Amino acid sequence: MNMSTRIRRRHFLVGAGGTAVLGASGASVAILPAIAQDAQGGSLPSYADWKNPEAMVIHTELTLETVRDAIGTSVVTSNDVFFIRNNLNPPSEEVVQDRDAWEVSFEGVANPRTMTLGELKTLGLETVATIIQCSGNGRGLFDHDASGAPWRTGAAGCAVWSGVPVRAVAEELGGSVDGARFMTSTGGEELPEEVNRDEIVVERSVPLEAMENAILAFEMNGAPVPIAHGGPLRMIVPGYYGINNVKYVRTVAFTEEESTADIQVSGYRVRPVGESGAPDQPSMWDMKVKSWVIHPLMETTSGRVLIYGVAFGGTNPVERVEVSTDGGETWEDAEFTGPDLGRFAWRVFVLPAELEPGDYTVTSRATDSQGNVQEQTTEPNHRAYDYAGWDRLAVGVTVV
Amino acid sequence: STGAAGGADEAMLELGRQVFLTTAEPPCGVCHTLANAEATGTIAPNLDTMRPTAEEVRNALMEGPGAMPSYADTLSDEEIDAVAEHVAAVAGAE
Repeated sequence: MNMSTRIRRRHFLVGAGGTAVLGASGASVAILPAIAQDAQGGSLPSYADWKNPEAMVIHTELTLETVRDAIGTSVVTSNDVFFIRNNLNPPSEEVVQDRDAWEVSFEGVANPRTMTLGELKTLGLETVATIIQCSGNGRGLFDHDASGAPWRTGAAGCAVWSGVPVRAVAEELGGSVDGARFMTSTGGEELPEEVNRDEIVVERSVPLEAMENAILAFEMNGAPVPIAHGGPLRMIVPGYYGINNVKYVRTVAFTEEESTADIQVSGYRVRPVGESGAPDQPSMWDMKVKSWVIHPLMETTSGRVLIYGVAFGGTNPVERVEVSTDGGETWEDAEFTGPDLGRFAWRVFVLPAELEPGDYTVTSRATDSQGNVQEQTTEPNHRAYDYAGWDRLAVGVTVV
Repeated sequence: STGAAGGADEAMLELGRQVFLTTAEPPCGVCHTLANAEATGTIAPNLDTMRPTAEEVRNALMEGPGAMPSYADTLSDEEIDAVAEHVAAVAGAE
């Protein structure tokens, strides 16, 4: 049995005993695994050995998922349970021996030059709460067998980041050059000489307007950014999928064209199953409206039950969350709880319900400030990016 | 590993080793560690730790997930099968 088969089987085994049930409407609603506990006996990789092993599903050394309910209700996801997805192996501890000595080159500005983090820190300070969500979050909820980690809900977390506003740096350097349409960030991993750079470099371009909210972050939830999360310095592009938040950022360039790196040209492109990636397909940039329940999962006691979870609107504030206990047949408005940390953070929602003993299909549906409603189902896409449909984000709950 | 259960013979495994070390462009061993092939790349996941199945290697070669290039257009089906069986057979074995 291979690893992905093992994972899938485990997930289904901890689910409601079957892979699907019929909702009251007769529509097939997949009952996906409530909790993905780490049953693989894997151990944390050394660069992330400070993580809470009880809260992590270890897919590979570079892909560690947060167990569904371990994100908690504090809005902010604590560092020791925050998911990890690195495209390349992280650099050694040396890069954080003297964090302020880390150098970043700025190109595509009137006065291009290299600055140390120490120098950057004199230019401005800004703090933003934003969700980091891997493009592949929910891959495990699609039916087709796409390559990559079979994430469920746990390739997402919400953190408070502090750093230097990119627009302040651009201003200091005389502004971005005329004609610039993209902000392109490059990771500082040392690549083997034998490889064509564009084939493996982690380099991402985002539309220039994203610069307005972007920061070069050196602090994550009150701690220096751990290497596992991109320290000493990470480009944070609020509201954008994880891949655009380049770790160990070494170069920031304002460019007329998108990067020529494979990861930009053909990678992280949304396309029909079976099609190759190409620049004319949508890039994984800003995130879509999404929510999911984190409690109850699997089994709970009858009577008053608090149903809660998280919801967000990508770059828009989330405005409303509805909860269903019958697989989407009927919905009730939930209330937001906890502080509003801004449009890029998620909101925790809660709905008190009186539940009799029986089997329930519990799910949630978010709406953002622009009226975008979370989709019922996510159509398959080749790389199985971002499953946001409330049908398969549902959990099967047995009330006893 | 049970990756070679598909019936890979010695010749196929040897072809896989060749592809891993030299034929593939760029060669797998430049980025990955695989002790059996004396490959010591450090930028990509260590295959001895990861111990992927042949199917997972085949998928990765075809797809090029994340920062990994796709080999779908540069290696033949036979070569892809061979390197997949080879990696599955020897990863973590030493």
